[in-house]
Amino acid sequence: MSKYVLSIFIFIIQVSYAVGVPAGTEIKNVAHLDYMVDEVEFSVTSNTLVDIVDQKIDMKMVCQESEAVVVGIGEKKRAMSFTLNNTGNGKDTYNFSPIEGETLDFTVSNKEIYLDNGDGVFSEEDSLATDVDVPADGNVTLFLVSDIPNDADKLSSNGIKASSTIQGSLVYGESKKLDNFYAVMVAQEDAKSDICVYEVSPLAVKLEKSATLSSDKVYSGTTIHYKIELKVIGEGTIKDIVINDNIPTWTVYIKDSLKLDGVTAGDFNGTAVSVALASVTQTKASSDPKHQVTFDVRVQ
Amino acid sequence: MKKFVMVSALLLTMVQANVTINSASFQEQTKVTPSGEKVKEWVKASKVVPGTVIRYVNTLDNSGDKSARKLVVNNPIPENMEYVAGSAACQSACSISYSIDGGKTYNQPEELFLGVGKNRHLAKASEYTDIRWVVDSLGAKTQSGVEYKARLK
Repeated sequence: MSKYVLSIFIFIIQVSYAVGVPAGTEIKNVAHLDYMVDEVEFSVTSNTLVDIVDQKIDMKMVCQESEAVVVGIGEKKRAMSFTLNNTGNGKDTYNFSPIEGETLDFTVSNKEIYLDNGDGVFSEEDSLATDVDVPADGNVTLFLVSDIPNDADKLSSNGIKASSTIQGSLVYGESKKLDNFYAVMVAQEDAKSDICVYEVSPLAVKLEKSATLSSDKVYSGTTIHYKIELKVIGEGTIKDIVINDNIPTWTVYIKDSLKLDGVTAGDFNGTAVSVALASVTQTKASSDPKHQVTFDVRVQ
Repeated sequence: MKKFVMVSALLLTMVQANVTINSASFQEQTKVTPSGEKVKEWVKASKVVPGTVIRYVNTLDNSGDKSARKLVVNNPIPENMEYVAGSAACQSACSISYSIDGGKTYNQPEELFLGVGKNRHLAKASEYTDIRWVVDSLGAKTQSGVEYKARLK
């Protein structure tokens, strides 16, 4: 196999969306007039005109997998990563449902949607995503988790669709009264959902990433220890494997923490860690030939 | 004699201070006519979300018996709004100038600069802080208006 490059796209995504002035803000216009009548000067002030900013309901769901998620037949709880961005100008509460894309060579089962606990990696620490509050300009990471059937082959596109609690039954362009302002539905239908793809490979590299925090939650100063486990699915040899992993936004790589199987290795280029392996072989008789890549980052 | 002058001046003021200014806001709305044609019209602002352009109209009403002159309207652009280039106008002859320092000074767009050294640049319309209209005169028992548009950030 020629050059086999793997990239893991991850995680606490802090994309900044300029969503505008918060709903409920008062916009005041006042004008002043000076004039003369018969050389006598006068000055008057207009009424104070107040417009209250309404809430636009808008969102954007984005698949965070840069490539198809490679899976093996019969695998359980394989996760795809998504982010939901609240691109409106007020807090909203969301619920989610799994959807299927057009490419469906096989159908996955036991689909569930989880809310990331902040480390960007699907784990048992994550909780089912229901009634998720997202502030204006905020975002959350979600995982669509599915079981791969034993007869899986080729590709299966699956995704997540978000629904806004405030939107309710509103359709595009409609509005309804909230407290002292209106909520206006401006989200396009196709922005509410996105699709990622599972790809079954008879011979593929499988990466499992996990994270350990140095504190109970993610705070400024928290150290996150990442572990990426590598094994080969199927039988054969894969050569020239390069594992690349972008470190999360708002984190700093801890110098010399990058290791392969416990030994210092690889490079950090300022945005991503990179580790190369010459080849990995998997035969039926052999046990899983795993390798481990580990590195640490500190949250700013 | 002194008392007479004071009373006369007071009466003069009370009689002639009859120009008022009233501010109103509008936003553009697309309506479909019975024939199916889409037309845009300005309606009272009621659904204002980020990106909405508001048209502010200041109506000058001279209900007095004498003409007013040298009418100077100063309108600070509301916080969280940015002026839409070229939108300031008036119903009768007037001159328009802009401020980028909170109304301390006014000038024409080509004379408005911000920053120093390499960062010095011609101010963008979105950086204007105030607008000034100077209307030469407003006849007795007449109305006129000045207006501008601004976009909600």
